Amino acid sequence: MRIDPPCKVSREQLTFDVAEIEPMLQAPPLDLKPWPEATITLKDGRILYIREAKPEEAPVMRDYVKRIMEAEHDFYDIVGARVVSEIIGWYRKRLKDPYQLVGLIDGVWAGFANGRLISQDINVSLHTMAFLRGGRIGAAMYYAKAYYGFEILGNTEWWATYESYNGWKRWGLGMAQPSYPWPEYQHELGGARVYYVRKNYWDAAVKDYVRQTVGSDLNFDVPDEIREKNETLTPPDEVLV
Amino acid sequence: MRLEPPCKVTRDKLTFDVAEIEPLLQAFPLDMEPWPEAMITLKDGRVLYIREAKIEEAPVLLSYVKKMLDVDHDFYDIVGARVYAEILGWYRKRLKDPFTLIGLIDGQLAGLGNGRMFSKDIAVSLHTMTFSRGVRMGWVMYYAKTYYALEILGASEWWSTFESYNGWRMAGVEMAQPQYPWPTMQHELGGSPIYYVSKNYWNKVIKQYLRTMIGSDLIFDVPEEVKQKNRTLIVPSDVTV
Repeated sequence: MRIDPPCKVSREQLTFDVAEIEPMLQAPPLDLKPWPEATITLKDGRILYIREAKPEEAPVMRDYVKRIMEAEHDFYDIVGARVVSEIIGWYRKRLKDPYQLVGLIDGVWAGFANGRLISQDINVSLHTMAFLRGGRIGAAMYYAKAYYGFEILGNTEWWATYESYNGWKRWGLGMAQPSYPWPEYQHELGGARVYYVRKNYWDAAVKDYVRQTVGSDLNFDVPDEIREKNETLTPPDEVLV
Repeated sequence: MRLEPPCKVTRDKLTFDVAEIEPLLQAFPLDMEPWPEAMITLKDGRVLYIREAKIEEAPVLLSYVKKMLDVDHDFYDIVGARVYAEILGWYRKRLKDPFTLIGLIDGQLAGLGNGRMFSKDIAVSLHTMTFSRGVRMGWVMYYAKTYYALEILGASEWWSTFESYNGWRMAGVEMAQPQYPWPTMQHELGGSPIYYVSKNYWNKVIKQYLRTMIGSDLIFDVPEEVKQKNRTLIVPSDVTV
């Protein structure tokens, strides 16, 4: 679109470096406290080490989750596709205030949980995935990210939604999460219902429920040995869904 | 989470068919008028036929768009990943009131423009992709989907955002789109700023501007010959971006 300048100008054209345009497209980050590394003992006795994913791990994470996009049952394909887009959105800086926690057992990528902050108060839960069977890894990852939101980042609300029946059963019904009026409120995952947990509900019921589901609690005092074993993220050989 | 029932019950368990749970996860649709097939003459004289994608075409669209995930320049990877998730979200009914328009030249996929209705008033622009160079295909597909939302569906606002510098230039800057306050309002594509076109601005400025840029207008009276040539969707053999 063009309109003649209503004033004499000394330059007919302005040229911008793309680096000058980038701040228009990349959201300035909130000052998020990092997730402190933690371990949790799983139901089957294995130790799950949970840390933030490193940006340089994004390609290997993306390539593994791409394989889940091919699973045509139980909504794994749509969950996989959305997680791939979230991982790429994170490393291409097209996701506002994202966080991605990875759960590792002896370096093998066992679980994933991510989300982003709409504001300092509202945390949007995106996805939780378990890549190894047994041990309630999904529950441990969900607990870790909700703990991060409420206990470390100081969020007051947690907004979730569900693509799959299993996800809805485990978390929506399992935590007796209320939902906001729909369609007035829509989750950014496809405009679905927003199920929410408030901080007072977390404190009163949900935290203990999830902790009991996992069977143990987070331990933030991580031995060097565990940290070293999990320095390098290695995806599982197989896709077990 | 469990609580003891505060009343005697005749059944200790209730079993639901997943089909009974599905209405909790699948948004019930707005009563949207379909896109009437249309054609438009491109700058180089070729005729672009624009129709809604058929649900049975989703797998072939997915197989083509998947190739974009591997393109690591100009944000094609994040755009490709999101479009892939959107097509799959439409296919798996995890996207509220989506629309997926495809532009075809003699059956060959040349462009895609999609979005979804947040409500009867607000249309959310998702992505526009061009698979044919040098004919302002992006402008054409953006025009068609905005026309659909504002002229046919009767939306009063059109909400866009941009991952790439080229997209921001084409629609954000060249259409002089205003923005809503950020971060108070966030686009569902990653929480970025919302650029919007009101119906009033569309009527007064944008519609004519787009027609001028494209060099022609939509024709809704499509000859049988054009329809037949484009009945079967063919995806390009290569990705040329």
